[in-house]
Amino acid sequence: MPGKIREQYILLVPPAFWLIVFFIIPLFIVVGYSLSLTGTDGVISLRFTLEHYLVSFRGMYLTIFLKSLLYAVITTLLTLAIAFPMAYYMAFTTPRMKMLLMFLIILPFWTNFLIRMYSIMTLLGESGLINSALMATGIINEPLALMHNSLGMYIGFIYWNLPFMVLPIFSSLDRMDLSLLEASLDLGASRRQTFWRITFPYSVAGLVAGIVFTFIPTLGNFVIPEFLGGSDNLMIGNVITAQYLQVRNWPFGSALSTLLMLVVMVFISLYIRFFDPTKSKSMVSF
Amino acid sequence: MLVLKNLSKSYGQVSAVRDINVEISKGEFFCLLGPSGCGKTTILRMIAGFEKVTAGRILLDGNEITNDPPNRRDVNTVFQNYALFPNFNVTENIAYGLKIKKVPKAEQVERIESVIRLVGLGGFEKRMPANLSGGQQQRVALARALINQPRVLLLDEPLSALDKKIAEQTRNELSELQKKVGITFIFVTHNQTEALAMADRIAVMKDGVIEQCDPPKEIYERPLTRFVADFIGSMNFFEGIISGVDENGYTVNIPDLGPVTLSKKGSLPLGARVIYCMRPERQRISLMGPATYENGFTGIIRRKDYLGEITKFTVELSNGKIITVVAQNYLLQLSNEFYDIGEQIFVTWSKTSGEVIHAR
Repeated sequence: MPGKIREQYILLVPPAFWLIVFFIIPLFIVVGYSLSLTGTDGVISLRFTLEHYLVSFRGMYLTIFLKSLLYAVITTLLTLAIAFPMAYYMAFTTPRMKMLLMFLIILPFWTNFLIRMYSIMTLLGESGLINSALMATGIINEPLALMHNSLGMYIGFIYWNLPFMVLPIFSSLDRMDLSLLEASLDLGASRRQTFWRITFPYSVAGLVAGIVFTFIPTLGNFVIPEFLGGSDNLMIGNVITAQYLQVRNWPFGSALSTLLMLVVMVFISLYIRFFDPTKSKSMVSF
Repeated sequence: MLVLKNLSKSYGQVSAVRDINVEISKGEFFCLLGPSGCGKTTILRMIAGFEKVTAGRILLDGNEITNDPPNRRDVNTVFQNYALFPNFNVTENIAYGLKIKKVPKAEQVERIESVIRLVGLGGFEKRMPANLSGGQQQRVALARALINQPRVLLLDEPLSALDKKIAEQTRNELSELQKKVGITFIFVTHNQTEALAMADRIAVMKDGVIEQCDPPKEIYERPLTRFVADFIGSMNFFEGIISGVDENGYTVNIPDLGPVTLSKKGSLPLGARVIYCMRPERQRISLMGPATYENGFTGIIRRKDYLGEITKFTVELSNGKIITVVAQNYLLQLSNEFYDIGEQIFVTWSKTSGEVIHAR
């Protein structure tokens, strides 16, 4: 039925148009800028150079790049450590409780991101809710430094990423038949053995998806380090923003963006290579 | 030997199982039979260790296992939905128990081979559970449990997910397998045919209580309660009063219909209120009363259902009571007897085929 197929292609036109105009073309512009010379007063002259890439690999920028990777890795691990027990509990609790917890996890999405960041600041600030409560009860005498340092940044990152880690893990564990756990116990396995041999492998697909959803956005994030991090918590996203908005060195910002994109693409390719998300049926492939 | 002593289970205020006392001998094929919600699965799950026991004890070969966790009991389960591990293939599923117990590799291989042969799964060793038919999955579940050589094997409605033909075939295989391995089987089902065909002993349950625990033949022929009589096969019931007791048995007077006799000795006193029951297939229909008969009533055929092997007649007796009579079509054809709706007929049966249950 060739007519049918042609109709299907027609359906692809609007998204293709959207992607070309707002994604592919800007992408080429960015790559193009990154290879162009910066003139005086930030004027971009379309003359080829690799200078921006060479600068990117020099001391400070490379350090920030590596630090960003480290922050993203630590954030991902901490988020995982908190999200896994949450998802596990959610998957095996009563249906009512499941609904309630699901609702609570989705609830923050109905609030603007910046508003949520400011709310966190009112919680963590020197005279914020947590410090006032602790001081009022006499547990501490001086306010704790909960933000404008690495701690604040991680709190922000974990808070922001938690739903993206919990939901995929939950959805893979939720599909699990409880009688599998009983079968494992029945066959002589302890609870710990059952977890590592049956439950954990079941969660791997969701777990990896959660890691991707957490790691990649964190790597490029610049708002949370700005709001909650300290002066030395500079991430590559902050440098790129500064190059575009303050230094007005667009070609250099573009070079850093392109490099960040390449790093992310490497991770995504690895993900697709080992855990093909389009093959929904493949649960685990060790 | 598995002993259940005053075993009870309740969920809050709701009692699921009450005061179960059973001794199941080694190598016995024991069946828990009852409608859904009667507590049969709860008993099985308490033996497996998945449900906490509210009161009572479970003893396995003299050792108390009442509060042992499931992984410390020498008991294995075949689950209703089989619960095969979806990410393991057939061999890995079967090997699970041995791997956990760290059985030496060589012995593992040997035992896996022999159990695969036992359940007839040769050639499917590397298949994933999702690529197996229901019957094959059931075999894997069975092999996975049997390979551990448990003292007791628990089977939770293992045939209910199979279609009729396969279930029948598996039924025969299962009962042969049980004789071969000699392991105690405790089989839960709501299907009376399965229970009658396989079990050495059946415990018929209702509302968390065992109503009767006897071999299949006893259960069918000598039901102790009206529920058992009704649940197993079909049965015609009459309320009556014992009007005569002698060395040959009882005479039961059924109001508006007259007396029936049965050759059963018991301890029921004269005047006791009883339920007299008889099986539809033990009764005969004729146009006129035979010259001699032991018990008989007249009636009119109200409905006739041809069911292939048999014909089921719905008969209205002279007092308006409706009973069911079943006749073998082969015998009807042989004797050239055909009856139609509306015909006045005579229902007769022998005094050896009735049963009385004390009405309470």
